[in-house]
Amino acid sequence: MKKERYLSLIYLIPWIIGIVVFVIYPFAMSFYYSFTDYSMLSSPQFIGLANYKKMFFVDPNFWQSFWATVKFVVLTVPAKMVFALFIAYIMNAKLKGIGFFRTAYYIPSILGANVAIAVLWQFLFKNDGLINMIMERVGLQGFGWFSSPTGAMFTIVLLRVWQFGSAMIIFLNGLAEIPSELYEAASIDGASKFRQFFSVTLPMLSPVIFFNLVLQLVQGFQEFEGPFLVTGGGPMRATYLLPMYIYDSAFKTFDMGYSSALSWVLFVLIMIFTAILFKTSKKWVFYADGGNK
Amino acid sequence: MENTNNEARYIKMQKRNERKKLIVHGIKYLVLVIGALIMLYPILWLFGASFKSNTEIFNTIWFMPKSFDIQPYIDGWKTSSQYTFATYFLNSFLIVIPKVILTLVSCTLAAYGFARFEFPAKRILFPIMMATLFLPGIVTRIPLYIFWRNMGLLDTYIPLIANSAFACDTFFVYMLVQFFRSVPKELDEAAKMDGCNSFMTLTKILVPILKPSLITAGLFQFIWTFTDFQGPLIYISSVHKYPVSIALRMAMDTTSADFNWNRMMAMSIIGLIPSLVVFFSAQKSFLGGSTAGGVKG
Amino acid sequence: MAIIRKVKTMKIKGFVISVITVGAALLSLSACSNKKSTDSDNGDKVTIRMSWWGGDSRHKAMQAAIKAFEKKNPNITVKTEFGGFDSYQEKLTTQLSGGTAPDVMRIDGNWITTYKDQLVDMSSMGKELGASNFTKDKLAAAKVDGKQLGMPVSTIYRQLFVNKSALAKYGVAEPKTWEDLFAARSKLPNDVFPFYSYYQPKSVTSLLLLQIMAEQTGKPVGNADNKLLYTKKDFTKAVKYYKSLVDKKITPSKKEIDNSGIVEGAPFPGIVNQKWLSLFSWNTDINVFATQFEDMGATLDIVPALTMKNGKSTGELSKPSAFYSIPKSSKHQQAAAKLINFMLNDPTAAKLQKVENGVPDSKVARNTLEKAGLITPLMKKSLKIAEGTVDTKMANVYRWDQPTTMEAASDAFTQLDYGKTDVDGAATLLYNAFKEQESEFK
Repeated sequence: MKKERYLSLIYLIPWIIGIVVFVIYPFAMSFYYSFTDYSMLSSPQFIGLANYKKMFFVDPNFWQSFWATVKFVVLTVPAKMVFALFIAYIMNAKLKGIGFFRTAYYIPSILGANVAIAVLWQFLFKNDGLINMIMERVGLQGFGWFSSPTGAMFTIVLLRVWQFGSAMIIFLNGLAEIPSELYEAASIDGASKFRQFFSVTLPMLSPVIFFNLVLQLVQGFQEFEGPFLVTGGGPMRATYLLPMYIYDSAFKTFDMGYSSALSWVLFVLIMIFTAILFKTSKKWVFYADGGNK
Repeated sequence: MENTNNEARYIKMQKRNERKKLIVHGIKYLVLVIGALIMLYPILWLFGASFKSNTEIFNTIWFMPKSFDIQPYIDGWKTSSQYTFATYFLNSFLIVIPKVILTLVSCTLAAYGFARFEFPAKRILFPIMMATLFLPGIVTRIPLYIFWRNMGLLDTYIPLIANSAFACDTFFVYMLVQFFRSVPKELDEAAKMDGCNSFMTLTKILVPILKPSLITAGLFQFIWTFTDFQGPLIYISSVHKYPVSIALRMAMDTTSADFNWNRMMAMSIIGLIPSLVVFFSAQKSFLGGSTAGGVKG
Repeated sequence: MAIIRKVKTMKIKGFVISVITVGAALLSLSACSNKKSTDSDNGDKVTIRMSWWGGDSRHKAMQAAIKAFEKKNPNITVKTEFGGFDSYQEKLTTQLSGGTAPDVMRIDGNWITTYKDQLVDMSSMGKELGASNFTKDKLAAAKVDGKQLGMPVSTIYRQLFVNKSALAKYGVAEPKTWEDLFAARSKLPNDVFPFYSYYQPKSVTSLLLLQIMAEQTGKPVGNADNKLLYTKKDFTKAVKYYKSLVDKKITPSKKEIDNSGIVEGAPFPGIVNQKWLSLFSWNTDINVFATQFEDMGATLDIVPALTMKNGKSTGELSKPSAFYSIPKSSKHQQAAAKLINFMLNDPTAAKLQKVENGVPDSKVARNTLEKAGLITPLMKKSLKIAEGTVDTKMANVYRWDQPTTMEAASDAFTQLDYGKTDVDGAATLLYNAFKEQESEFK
């Protein structure tokens, strides 16, 4: 047992060095900055809890961004997960030309923050855009997507669900590791494909679903490019997510102290959500190595 | 008697299955093709836009340009600096390739340490690792910048690569930990019986099994590093060291009369090619069931 | 071995001190990786860095001019760092924060107050910089707290770009006053607007407000010491005026702009499909709009800033487009000054750079370009109008168009147009932001 402990250290030493130099030190600095008035151009002035007080009790933009961020995550992550799993399940077949399809479905994710997406999203959702044209054709009334807080949020949620590529890849990877013997056994037992999905695929995939969920959650909370590209944070800050606020505080108004304080609040927010996920995971995640962490 | 009966039933079942399979395949293809069109349209439009004039680009959602002229590609490739895009591609690879290799090595080691060993400090270290995922990178930028300045390593690729050598891409460590955990521990014990030490167990047994996961990690790192803008923006100053992501926006001044969007679109199409090629060649490793043979509980 | 024995015999305290000194020496060594030169005038070879933003043609022109400089000054090598405007400031701020900024940096006119503590006071370098080529006014634009923090590159003016052909189609004459716009309304279809003020989803400038206020009050936003001269009442009056522009459908509301399919930085859809008939912007954009209008098959014209009945100013605002500044961290300030002088005042450099940086403020450079016929007719017209009508009282107004006030303008006008606040609420929001800006100047 003791030997194991040392062994594990050997594998972890590079990481421990890295974490101290590249993570703990800058983390500590940013934590310190969050208690200062720091423009980056003059040295930081300690101001105690002023940044946090401003955030919680004075600044209405903070609460606006806070709830917008939570809303975005709650809407995007489940939709993206279901969609990615569905497509990955279809893609996990030995179909002819499947490589082409996989690549095609990953393309939106490679495009990422390309300006093409900004332009196309406007074409889709502007006043005389494609979506409104279709809606009017079927007798519905056109809708001001970008001038409605909910509508604008919807456009960026849709963008991120559409860029489901990396979640799909992780699922594909997990699906590939499910032993085919299990399916064979199930089909000999007469289980339909539909049944197999719930009795074999989902349980076997549960660890992958879990950590994909964690990753998507973390990425969702740190969403920046979607609103930056499509809505500019509007209308009336309805899509002005926290990371955008953090960025603007740092490099637009040069208030690194406030930016750091915002970051630490976001940090805690993500931590709470992740902790809840980890807690519930014991109930539904099944690990091949028998552990339960 | 019983045998032949069974066989006949089996053949019948197989035939029915095959017919069913054909229909299922047909439906699958239909869904896939429709989906692919939606997914591919933006890149098609981007390609079309690379031949359009500024006003044409922002005026029509239809991808087909009025005329095809490869001039934007020639002008874009030449760039306004004394270097062509070839230089910037080379620079990108000088960053991406070492970074991918270092990430794979260091993250595999760290993930192995986390996934396969029990030790008291793990209760603290694992949450620390997770926590590093949660803080937005932007606030750690100034301290890190000053650190690299003090090391005298600004305007080199080292600040962009170094953290990967130390497994600080937590995303991948966590991802690999999860994939390690999907491999039964009995395998390690069997290897131990055969006289493997822990390092050999990792390289000889676990890494081959985890090849698809490692390819996934490498793929993500490749694409993300290739498109990363913030890192090089801050650390790289010399024009001849710019990677593609910076070079693409080098002439992005919309108040300049000769700002041709088509040139930028043309170069971003070219910039997508490496990622597409890498993705297309990597996706084969996700073929279902191909690696599962050795993993029998 | 000898060293080890020596260390062993040393007292611990001494050892600690020596470690610290060695460590500090190592640190300072690495910190100064760009070598410290004694003096560039001694004929030692020095390397300096210069940074700017721009598009393809500016990049090419600047590099050519720098090459000419190196030829003339074989002792000075110039390393160039250039890129797009996007994120240029982000990088510059990081560099200034780390003390690693280039020796010559192009900074936007607006940034000079932000960076005032980082920049070298050039007052005593007049000769090296060729300051005699500039009028007092132009130099004053780069002065903060009495310090000369940069050299002006060119001056830009707020003007109205009009779609002449579309106006003619509806039988509307080119507007001269705000009242003309109101009068034009009845001649236009419902979805056509006579005026648009460069509002984008992300970036909303406060300049429309500032021009209205200049004309209403006859005062600039702040005095020479950056004290706010406007009262809350002034803001209320101006916001009321803005609201009437929206209510009477003279300008598209923020709501209409948000839904128009606008992409930050791209041609404006309302301009391209000729539904917004004039555009209020800086005249830096002349050539952009000239090409764009040509593409659209429309005729572009430039008219002076709109005036109003009983107005107390022409409302013609100016702004230094950019400055060349030297950061205090620069170790080659003499060489940097030489480079700035060359780029701004040398006839060869002027010819190479043409009007890529605007029509130069430097008299020599401008003369050279005029003689060589390098200034386009449209640009000439724009300059003639601007220089004839510019209100010099308002010379510092642009300095108040900062992130804080822009954000407030965006919030105030958006909330107003979406019906989430009234004139009073918007005016309060704006007034508070300008008060905040006042304190930020200190």
